[in-house]
Amino acid sequence: MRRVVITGCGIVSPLGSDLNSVWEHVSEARSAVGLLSRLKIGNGNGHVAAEVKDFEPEKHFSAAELSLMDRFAQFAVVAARCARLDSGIEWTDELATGVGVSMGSGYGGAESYDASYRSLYEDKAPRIHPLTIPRLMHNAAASHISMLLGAKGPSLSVSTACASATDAIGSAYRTIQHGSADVMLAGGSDAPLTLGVFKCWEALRVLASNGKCPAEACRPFSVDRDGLVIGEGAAVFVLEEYEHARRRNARIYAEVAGYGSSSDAGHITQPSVDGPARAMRLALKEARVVPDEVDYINAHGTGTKLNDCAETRAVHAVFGPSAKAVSISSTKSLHGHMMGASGAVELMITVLAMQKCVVPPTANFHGPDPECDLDYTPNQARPRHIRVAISNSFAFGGLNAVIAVKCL
Amino acid sequence: MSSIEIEERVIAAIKKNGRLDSVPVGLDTTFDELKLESLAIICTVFDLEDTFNITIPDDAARNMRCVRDVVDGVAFLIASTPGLSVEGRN
Repeated sequence: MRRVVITGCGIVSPLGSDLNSVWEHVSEARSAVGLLSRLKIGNGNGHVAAEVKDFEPEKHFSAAELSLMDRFAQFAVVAARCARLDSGIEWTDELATGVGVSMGSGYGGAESYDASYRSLYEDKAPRIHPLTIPRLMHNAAASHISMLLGAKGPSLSVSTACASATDAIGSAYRTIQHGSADVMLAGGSDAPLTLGVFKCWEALRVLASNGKCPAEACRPFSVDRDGLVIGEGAAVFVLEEYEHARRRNARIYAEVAGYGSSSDAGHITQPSVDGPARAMRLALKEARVVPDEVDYINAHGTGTKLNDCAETRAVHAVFGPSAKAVSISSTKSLHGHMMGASGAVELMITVLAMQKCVVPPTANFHGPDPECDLDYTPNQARPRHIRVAISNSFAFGGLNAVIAVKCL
Repeated sequence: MSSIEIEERVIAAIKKNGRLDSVPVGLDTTFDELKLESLAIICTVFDLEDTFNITIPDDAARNMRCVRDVVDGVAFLIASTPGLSVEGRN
């Protein structure tokens, strides 16, 4: 089977839109969660969010391009361009057939749905703008990356809620492993900060309450945690076949060594222990590593009561006596839950952590929960050589995805 | 509304959606000459429906080949829509 490595990283996120500022935020435990400024929600819990604040679409796209692109597709293309630039890779028209795209998104063009339905239901508009379908379709991110970067290989969009990006990266990894492409632009993108999406989450009663300090709203694994914070953004990797990367002397961030995917086949919202545990085991088995070799887990760690307990139990089940020796963190405490982009952003932070030999912290950790008894790297980053790491993503609907990365 | 006004508004909509700011467009200019793609035609139709407060049927939209087809079609629809203000909505 062919080996797959990460040679480029691009990101548009609440923590910043270049790797340096992202890492600064992460290593200093500076949260990007704040009061939602782009949208007025009312008196509910939903007015804390992790927004992308430095994004100016006109700097990246022509008016003609923008007329076709929802915010989530704009994020995706900008992140993909940064990833390509970062990897130094270029391809001729002839080689473009070996370059594919795999993008996760939970929502697709959420803003376009919201705006078009509002015009229909509230403003009583008799018709909807003809470009609404191209803007809102889930595959728009993959399509625009393919069109604007000239990728002519196999492309797809993946929608497994909060696991979307991780599954998209896993799928891209398989595509290269099996020889269907040499290079894949893979990641996730979501821009779900709309009234409609907020109200849907609010109704599930899983959003973190306002609190007096919005930056501390998301408190994964902490005894006082009370929910998740919605975020937005995108992260895209250049995944490349190992020999292909070596031939062009590419800088290699890490090897994608395993991908585990499983389904709970249980409850629609309540996470299981068995499903996530199986996904972690599969990723480790494929990476040919034993639990002792894993130094870091970037947890799904949403900050909800249920997820964080179930994930802790799943880590215990997989790692046994080694569980307490693994460094764990949930960086959602810093960038919120970027939904279908989360898995990509978290894997990117994971490979940066490998490069820097520093474990990212779980910010806003105010005290241990008896049911969450592992080392969550509370509040402060910690030096550690990371040989192998995994990034967990567990979706509503019981769909679990885990990527294992190895230091080369 | 005079046919000149209709013509002006139709041409403005075509130029906007085809991104043809500096291209001369007259009554007998065809969509082929303008290399107007289907999505641009559909967006033009949408704008015209909004501007003139009319509904352009699918088959009429599909059969438009030149600016004159559009102007004549719009004039016909304005004339045959009961109760419609000739001033349109714009």
